Amino acid sequence: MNWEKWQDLMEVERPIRYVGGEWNQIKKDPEKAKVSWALSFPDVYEVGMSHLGLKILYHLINSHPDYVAERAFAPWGDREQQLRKKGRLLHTLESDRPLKDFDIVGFSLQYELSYTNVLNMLDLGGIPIFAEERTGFPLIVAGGPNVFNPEPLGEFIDCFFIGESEEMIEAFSREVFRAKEENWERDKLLEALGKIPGIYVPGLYSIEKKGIFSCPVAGLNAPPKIEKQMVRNLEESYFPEKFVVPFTPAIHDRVTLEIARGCTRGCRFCQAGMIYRPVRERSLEKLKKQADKLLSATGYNEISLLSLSTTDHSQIAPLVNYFSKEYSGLGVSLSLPSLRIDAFSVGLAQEVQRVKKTGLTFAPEAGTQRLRNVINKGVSQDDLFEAVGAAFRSGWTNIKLYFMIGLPTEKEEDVKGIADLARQVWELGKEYAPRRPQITVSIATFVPKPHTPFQWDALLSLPQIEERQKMLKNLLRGKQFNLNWHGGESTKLEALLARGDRKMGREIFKAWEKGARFDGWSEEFKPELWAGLLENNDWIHKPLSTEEELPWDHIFSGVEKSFLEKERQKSREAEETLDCRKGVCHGCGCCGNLKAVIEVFGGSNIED
Amino acid sequence: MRIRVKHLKLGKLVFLSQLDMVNTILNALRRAKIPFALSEGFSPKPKISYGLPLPVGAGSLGEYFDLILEKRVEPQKIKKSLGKQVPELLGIQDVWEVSLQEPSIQAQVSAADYYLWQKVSGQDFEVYLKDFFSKDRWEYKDRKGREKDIKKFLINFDYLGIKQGLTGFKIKAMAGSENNFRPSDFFEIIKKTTQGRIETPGRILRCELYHRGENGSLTPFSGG
Repeated sequence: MNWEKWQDLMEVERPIRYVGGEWNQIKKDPEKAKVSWALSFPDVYEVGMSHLGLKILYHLINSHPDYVAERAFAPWGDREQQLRKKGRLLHTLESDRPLKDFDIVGFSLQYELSYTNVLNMLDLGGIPIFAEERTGFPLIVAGGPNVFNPEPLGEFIDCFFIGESEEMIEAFSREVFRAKEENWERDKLLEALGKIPGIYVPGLYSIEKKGIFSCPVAGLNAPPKIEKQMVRNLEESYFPEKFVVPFTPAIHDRVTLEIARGCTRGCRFCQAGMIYRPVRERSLEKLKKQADKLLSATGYNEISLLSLSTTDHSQIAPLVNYFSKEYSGLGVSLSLPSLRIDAFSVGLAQEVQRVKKTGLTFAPEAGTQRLRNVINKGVSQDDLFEAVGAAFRSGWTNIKLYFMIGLPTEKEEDVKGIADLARQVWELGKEYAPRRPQITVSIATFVPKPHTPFQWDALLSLPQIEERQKMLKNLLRGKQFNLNWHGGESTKLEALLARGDRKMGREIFKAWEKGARFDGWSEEFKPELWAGLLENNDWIHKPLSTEEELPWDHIFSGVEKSFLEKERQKSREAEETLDCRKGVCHGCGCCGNLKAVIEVFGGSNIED
Repeated sequence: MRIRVKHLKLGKLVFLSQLDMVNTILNALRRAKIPFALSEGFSPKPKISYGLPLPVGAGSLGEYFDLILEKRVEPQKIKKSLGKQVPELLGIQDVWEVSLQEPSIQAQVSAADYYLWQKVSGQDFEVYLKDFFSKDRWEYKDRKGREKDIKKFLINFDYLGIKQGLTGFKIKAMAGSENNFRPSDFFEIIKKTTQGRIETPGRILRCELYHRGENGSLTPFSGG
């Protein structure tokens, strides 16, 4: 390494973030590849390297002999300043080539508050930020859950991948290669890409003001609706046999097994539960093979079973049993990321953590039964007490409870209900826990998300958020409770970006120009940079009419809008909708529209 | 069984912190299926211990760690299988058995060889250096603000002159918990003495670690 590069890295915090060269890194020559991808994650290395989607796409693209994928992450402030001061460009870890030299730069959009980092990475990578200012390559593409409302980034991104990107990579790369070979104009290529199922090219749509929002209208050569693409047979779908092993631990640094995709519990606030339908599982047999390969390829000593609702896997008991025993002699431990609220799940957690009992987390989401029915959480107070009681009796003392304030129809008694529930959990702990129980109560503010039954609902105003947080603070005094929440301003920003239209792009651009970066990091978030946006936009604090045209109406998740509306009506009556895995179809439309089937191996383990 | 392993730390991997390096080696040991022993208790940990930790940014031709194994394995076999599982820039140089009774590397280490380089950014720095070399004491303030003389830690000292804008020094110095030569202190003294004509941070390559042999002479760890 030459002196200059060494000295640069000595000047920044945690330089190992920026050097690459990890075990299982794939190094090909991007110059010789037919199509080169720079997979870009708009957050720091340690966060991006934890993300399963990035691992899948990285290895999938590189498994093709003619394609190459490299990685880039958002540089921390000190590194950004250095790049700018020294006139250097943001580059990938593998070949040190700047982003601008790739054919395709792909962003993973996991949370709205990472949007300014997308703009920043483009700028640092030597790429014009606005799509209309770009000529030739690279193409800027984006995927991930946020693209179900792509509009706020519509002026910056050339193509959005709607749904599960691994289904579109090959067709997309092939078309890009053809365009390179035949020297197509950029416009011709974009038009051709817009014909690939699942690819949304915002430049092919004009924007018309319709009511509150400006909405895209398809041009002549663009599809009026873009249907999400999805893996149809998860069991046989691609999964990497190797993971890149970071030198410095990532947030989640372990073998992640994706045991299932999709969740049909139907919580009415949950976007993931709507856009990843239907449920598809991998079998124990398949997962065993994947675990063996990944453990020996990485040297990790932890396995995590990942899905939107891990304990809902139809073979979860044998899965946990197998993975907690098979490798325990080798010092490999198992972790379960999310626990359903019942004694069964606590039993599983106990099997996983035979010795060390750290904390357990449950998410009742709402404080009263009425409100839990409104959101279709399908959890009763008895379920919670049974689960928590089992946890205390098995030796756990630290319980974390997730709640939301500001859910549709919330009244004062619902907010008080959160405190009551937390207090009752603590009382149970006093009775059954081996030591003094500690209850962490985590309060998020409900943010209405596109493609959910609550997409028309209101966000609390900032004074309302403060008032309800204060109420809980007063009700949950005492050392036994540990209360935490997010600031109202960053919640409002998240809500505005989540349901924003194409015009929101200018606001993101303005905030970026003023220096907004890493808005999702509470210590980095500077509300004053978003002042104009946060002070205006009162529409977000009122419910929308279901007649209102929405900026994401052209993005089709498979779930019918009429189903979302019906679910919303049921919610106002506090009426529940059961999980369709159990055999009763509620007509969301997903399976029929997408010609998909529920893939569950061992029959449903979900109780009525 | 206890083994001692010597490996490199070069190139971009000089930016590994000591903790990152231990993590990376443990992942490699597991990939190589080396049967290392775990401690008892709530969170069992491998019994691995390094000698003198290097600062982030420093390279080495000889990092040493000790590892307790659960059962006997031929050291040469470990050298081969582990060698295939570590990044080239941490290349395994040697593996041998050491007795369980032997003190830890940390307790044994008493000297180290370094190449040190610093960037030159001003004229006439050699005038200052010559004056500096002739002094009896090379005084500096350590991290706690105490006056120290770094010259008394030196065993051998060679000034290598200037090449491509860099001054070089070849140094054998005392190391360990009592009298420990810290390259970063040396760099600061040089910077101060040349009134900023030589820059910090400087670059470090550690070549060897020594312990006191039976007759009290400095003996390299290499080769057991």
